[in-house]
Amino acid sequence: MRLWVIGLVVMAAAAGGCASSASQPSAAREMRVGVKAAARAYWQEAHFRFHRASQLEPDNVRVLNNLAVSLEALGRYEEALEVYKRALEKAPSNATLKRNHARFAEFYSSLARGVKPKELGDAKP
Amino acid sequence: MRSLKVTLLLLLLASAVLATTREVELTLPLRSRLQLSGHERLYIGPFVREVRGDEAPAQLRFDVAAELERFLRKLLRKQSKYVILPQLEGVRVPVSDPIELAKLSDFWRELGMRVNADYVVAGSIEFTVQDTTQPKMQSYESPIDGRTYYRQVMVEQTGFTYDILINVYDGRTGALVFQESFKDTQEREERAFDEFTGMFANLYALENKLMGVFVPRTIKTKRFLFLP
Repeated sequence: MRLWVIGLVVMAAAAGGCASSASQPSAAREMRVGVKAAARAYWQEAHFRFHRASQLEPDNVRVLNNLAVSLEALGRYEEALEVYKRALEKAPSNATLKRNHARFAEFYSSLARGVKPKELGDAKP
Repeated sequence: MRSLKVTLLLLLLASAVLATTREVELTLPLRSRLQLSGHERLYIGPFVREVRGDEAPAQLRFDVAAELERFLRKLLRKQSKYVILPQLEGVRVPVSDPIELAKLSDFWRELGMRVNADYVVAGSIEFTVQDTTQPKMQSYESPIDGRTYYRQVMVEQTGFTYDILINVYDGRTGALVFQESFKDTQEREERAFDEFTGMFANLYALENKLMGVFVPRTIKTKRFLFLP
């Protein structure tokens, strides 16, 4: 009988824990959902998630990188540049971040100059 | 056995590092240079052939301006939803100077009203064909002593330069709303290469840039996302 009671208490506690973790937003959870959305090219949703994650962890470089990528995908280049800069200030030696920023900077500067960017090989009107 | 374990461990470590990021494909939107809704009524032309100083323009077998107008009309019909208005016969611009051209607001307004256009796409073109034949250094291996020698050879080639100034005027006011110039140079390794083919090589090279003025485009590229 005691074992049953202990079992029920443990299950209730576990369920409570799950419920509280599901209701409370966490940056990791938002990131997970955001990455899933991005993989399906749902960039509005991905941006919403990454933005929420950045509100929860404003100094997290990984979150800032993802947020910048989602802003790029939405054509909000000025904001993407700002976020990339913020992230690079925090982690100037992060290889992935540096690679993303370099590719973006190349595209963005060509766009500003009004010349055909290198990536435009597959440009579609 | 031990080396297998080490390999497995290395593979696990590598997969753990790779699992921290995910490559995604982005389709980046590129706005058109001219901020229009995409359904306006456009009148293409007239374009004038620019003449530098007192120089007489090179005699060509075709009308460069008419060919550009036709090319632009075809591209815009195919790649946009603008209403491309039919060409009016006998429209002549009073000047050929590109600076003066932009100042003729009365002329552009009148033309815009006559064809009922929202915008008039006009401008000037400078098309030059040059014989760029020149001596070039070339290495060759002597069949007698097997040594490499250098000699000068005359390389016959023709250069084509196409310089377009695109002006977009408001069809109701005649005001200049957009101006941009595009330039392309092509070389063909043949003396007296066909001018018509040369001109179209220039136009095809400029096609993407020209369309970027009127039509929004997208480009595909890749970025890395961090996984939680």
